[in-house]
Amino acid sequence: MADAASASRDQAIDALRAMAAAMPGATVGRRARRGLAGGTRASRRGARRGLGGALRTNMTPMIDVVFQLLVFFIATTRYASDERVISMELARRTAQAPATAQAGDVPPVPAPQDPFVLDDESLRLEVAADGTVTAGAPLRRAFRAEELRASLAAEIRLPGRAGGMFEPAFPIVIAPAENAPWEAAVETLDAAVAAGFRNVGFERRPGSAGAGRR
Amino acid sequence: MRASRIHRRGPSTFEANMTPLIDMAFLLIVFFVLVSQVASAEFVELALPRTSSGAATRPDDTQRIVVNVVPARDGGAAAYRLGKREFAPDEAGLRDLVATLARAMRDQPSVEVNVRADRATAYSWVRPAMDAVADGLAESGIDRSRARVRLVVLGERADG
Repeated sequence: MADAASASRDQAIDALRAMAAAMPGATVGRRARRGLAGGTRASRRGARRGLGGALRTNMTPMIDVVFQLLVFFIATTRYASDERVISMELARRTAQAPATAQAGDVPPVPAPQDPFVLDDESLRLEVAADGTVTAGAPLRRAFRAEELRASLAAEIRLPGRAGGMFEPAFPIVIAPAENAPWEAAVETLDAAVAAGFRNVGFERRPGSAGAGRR
Repeated sequence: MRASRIHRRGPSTFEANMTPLIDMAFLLIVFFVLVSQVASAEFVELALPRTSSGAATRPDDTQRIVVNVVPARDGGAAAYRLGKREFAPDEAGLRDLVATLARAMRDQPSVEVNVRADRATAYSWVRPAMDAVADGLAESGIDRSRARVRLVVLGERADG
């Protein structure tokens, strides 16, 4: 029994020596190390500490990777901080319409808030694909995209200011062409609201409750 | 002859405790992974329309649903996207979108619907999204004056 135990211990020591020879920088316990000549100062210090010191996990690569991931996610996260919204009330001045209305049906009769203002009396701004805006009935003229803002501001009648044709509550209906880019439509809406009009909206789809009004 | 018992083992090595650092780093990673997932569900990559001031305001912290008009080539729309769900830009897809919006509005009556569309997308592809919001509101049967649609734009004109 004792012979077998010491034989297996010798085998273990031989295996450790082999490992130590294979890894010159590493330290494999005090006993195995002592048999080997030389070694750096650091490895001798490690040898004095024993196995516990030699097998400590090296944290550096993990921390490197963790920080890499951290920087990656911080850099790639997109914040919506530069986004703004134009708020529009939904179909405020239109009557409740069945959602299942067919396209060929007669549009529902709107219920205007003010009995003296008909709902179809409104300024219609048609937006073309190139951004040109054509004003309808009372105004009847075309604007280039750049002059739209100033022109609309000149048309509004505000207290304490001469000129201007329309009350701020006058309904403005924006009717973009099918192929008009979204930016042109939004820009027209923005210009009308910036001019001071309070009742701006996109044209209603035929036979439905329609889109928004501001 | 040694100077003191403390230095018997040779010069001491300074070791900082890395555990709290690694804890914090992992927490931050988890945070950013989650945030970027939420953000990618709401924000489809598109060029928002630019406006020159006026009506646009900073969004407040109200509950919101974001409907994205996923841009396709030549000013078309590939799909309408609500959260992680995509709706085809045809009649069936829009009916689905209306039903989904109506359900969301019934669950949260004070919800606001943000419509995000690319600046080059043709109006004929954006209008169904806004119509879907109006139809969803009509279908949900909640108080009409509370739910609003909001058009998402960029803050300032980039080209001046």
